[in-house]
Amino acid sequence: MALRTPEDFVQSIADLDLEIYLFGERLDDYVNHPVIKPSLNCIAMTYELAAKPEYEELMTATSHLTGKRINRFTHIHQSTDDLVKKVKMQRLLGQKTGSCFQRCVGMDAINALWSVTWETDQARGTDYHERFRTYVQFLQDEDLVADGAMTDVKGDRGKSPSQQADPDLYLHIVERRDDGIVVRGAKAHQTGACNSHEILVMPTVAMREGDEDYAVSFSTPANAPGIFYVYGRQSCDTRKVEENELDVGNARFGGHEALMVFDDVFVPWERVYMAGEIEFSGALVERFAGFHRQSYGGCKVGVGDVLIGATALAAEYNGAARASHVKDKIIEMTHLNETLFSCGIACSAEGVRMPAGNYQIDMLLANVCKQNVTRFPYEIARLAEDIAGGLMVTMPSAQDLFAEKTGPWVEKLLAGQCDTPTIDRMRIMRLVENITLGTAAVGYRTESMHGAGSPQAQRIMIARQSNMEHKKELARELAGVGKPVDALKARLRKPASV
Amino acid sequence: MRIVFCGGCNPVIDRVALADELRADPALAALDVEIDISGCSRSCAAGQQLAGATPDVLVVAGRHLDGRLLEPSELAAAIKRRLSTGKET
Repeated sequence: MALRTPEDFVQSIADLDLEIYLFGERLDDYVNHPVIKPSLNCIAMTYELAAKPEYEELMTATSHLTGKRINRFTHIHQSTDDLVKKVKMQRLLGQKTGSCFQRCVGMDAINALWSVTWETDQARGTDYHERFRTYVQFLQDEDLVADGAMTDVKGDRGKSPSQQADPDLYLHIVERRDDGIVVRGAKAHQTGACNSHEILVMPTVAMREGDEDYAVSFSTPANAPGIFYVYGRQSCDTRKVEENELDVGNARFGGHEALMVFDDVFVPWERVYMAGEIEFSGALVERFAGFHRQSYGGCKVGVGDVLIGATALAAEYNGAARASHVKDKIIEMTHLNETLFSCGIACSAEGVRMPAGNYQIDMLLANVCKQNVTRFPYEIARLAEDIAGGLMVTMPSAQDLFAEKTGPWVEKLLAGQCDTPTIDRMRIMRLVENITLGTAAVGYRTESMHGAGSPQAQRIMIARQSNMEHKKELARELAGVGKPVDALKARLRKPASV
Repeated sequence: MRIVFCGGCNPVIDRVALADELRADPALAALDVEIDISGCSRSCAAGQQLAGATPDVLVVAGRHLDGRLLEPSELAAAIKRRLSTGKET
């Protein structure tokens, strides 16, 4: 199959007849549901841009398996150039959608599993890599969206998976059969889950002895019997059902997360890529997290570009664009945003070719990238709110703008810089609101904090990778630590001027 | 035996000490092999590859030998074992 069109993608998701629940009810026509549709539009954009010559350099790649042109989201990185282009593609999509476009988790999952399955086979004599290779080619050939599903609900964080009072708090194998395994549990915070053709499950932590049933990785069709989804709420989400675009801020695009439940789901062996190999679970978690921490150096930057642009327009519409402090704050926003991009590019340029043949990011720099992402979008959002002003959260609704009694007053009183129609000023204010504390803030703020691992997870990796002994040795050498004291005493002289 | 060093900007191992230990073994000195020694896992000496493309190239990248994670103190012995037996470390 050639690259899918956006329309074909949407239809293919509709055809899955996924079991999705929202506000306590199962949804029928979920691809046209006003709360969900914007998130579907985001992934459709990954198909739309791939078909455009002006974006194909970033949006597509050549498969190392078939030699065919494929969507980069299904690509196994074959060079540091591929890693760099991945980050640039993500920035582009963040710019085009102003939202989380959801397809990255699958890309990061296939790249992590590529090397881990290879290494497992080398050590254990298994055939996981061959199975996985077949699966990746299937994703590429069919141009599918895979949800990389890692995060378990975890229950008591002080206990290991096998020590939990309820065994289903981590997804686990409940039965091993001749033809496959049966799994039960859940994956939480699943980005794009309801817009995916496939689910690619990975363990969420490094497993220890006794946790063998929890060290499990597999793929499954998103509509496999036993899987259902409980759609996650977002701040201001019901504005999308009000049938007015203005108050949504970004009416066309948005992200989504869902709680994904596995109620005794059968997985045939040919789709299993880890089943009890606890010693490789840690590497899989680290590599997926590493790739995803790189991703944030692209996607959040693209959304940041939109927010900075909206803030600059808000300043213009407020008539404050020439104030020196406003200019300086926008420079600061840009500086922070480009620093994130620099980290994304740096960990990509410093990537290495793994023995399995794929390229992996530099782990230290990827973790530094994500650590900055846990901070800088918050400061960028704070500056955006500072410049936009309180009106972005106190403004009357679109209905009031168009109502007979209130409309003329809202139009007249909310005018800013006089060349700009009031409605355009309101549109930009709502966009700033959307990204900083509306539905898109899920992706731009809290996901920046906790997505791809919470801040402390990066600090542990930074500590592990930071080569402290080398730094101490550099200091010892320059300070002369350990050199004989007698020679130092003999050379002591008072400065001539004292 | 040829030793290729990276530039040494941020080494987690003592590259020179490792090279000296290998050179001190006369059995290794005569071998037609290349050992790319990078100070860290970015593996600059081997063109950013964690494993050698051919059997006569061994890649040390920080604590990794051909992609396998070892303690720094184990590297020299693992390389010698690999070159003498051709087996995995």
